[in-house]
Amino acid sequence: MKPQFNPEGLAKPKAWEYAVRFLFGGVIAVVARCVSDSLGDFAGGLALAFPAILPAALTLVNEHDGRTRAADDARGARLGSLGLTAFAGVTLLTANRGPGVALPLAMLAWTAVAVGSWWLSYGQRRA
Amino acid sequence: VASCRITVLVCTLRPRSAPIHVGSADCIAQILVNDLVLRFALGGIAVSLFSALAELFKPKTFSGLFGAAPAVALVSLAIAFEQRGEAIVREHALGMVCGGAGFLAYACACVFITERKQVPVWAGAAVCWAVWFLVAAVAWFTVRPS
Repeated sequence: MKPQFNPEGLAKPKAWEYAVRFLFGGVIAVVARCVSDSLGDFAGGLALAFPAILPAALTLVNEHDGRTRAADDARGARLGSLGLTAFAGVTLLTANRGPGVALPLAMLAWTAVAVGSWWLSYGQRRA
Repeated sequence: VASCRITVLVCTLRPRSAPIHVGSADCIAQILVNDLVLRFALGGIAVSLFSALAELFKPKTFSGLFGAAPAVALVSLAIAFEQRGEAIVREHALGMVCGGAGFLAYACACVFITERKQVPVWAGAAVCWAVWFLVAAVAWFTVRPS
């Protein structure tokens, strides 16, 4: 199985569905800041890895493509969370090099771990 | 520091009926509001972009990867670097490592519950937040620097 580029997929969600995601993203960014101010920076970091968007995403996938696809989406998020942890680990190790180095390296780590673990899990299977 | 200076500048240059003095309670409140609006806008844009990116790929197991993309984290950490420095970013990142483990546990629970046809997907995904909070609580009491 290989990942396929599917430009038509962009047209599938309605405008309000993108708006919901924008709203959730904005709210979690503000909440993370408020948590950081009130409970400390460690708690702020925890909040940055809170799965705020996933319930909405799974609900929308279930409505568009059915429950099986929604479960597949959750399986993908499971592998993506490995990448998220790698992102945080690399940021932790490289923060002293500044944002110009630490954040691109961390993003690279997310991509490598998420895509790598997907390839190990699904890349060998037949579509 | 640079970002704070810019925000102060914006706050003082903003046309108002009464002038605001740098360092006054009004100005500090204005800086806070500006910061929250900036985070809301950038966080929303980042999540929307990653969501759009997810729609560009199939199968769902692959596009699902973007459900755990560090969209908000990228924005928040970039702002934290500018405003508060690398020591704070390291503490955020440590919290995120633990939060990432919680996300993994949450996603595993979501896979399990989404396969159960008796439970509505939205309700199951919301109930699974308890798993994330459990991992976060364990991290809070065991890993959090004193």
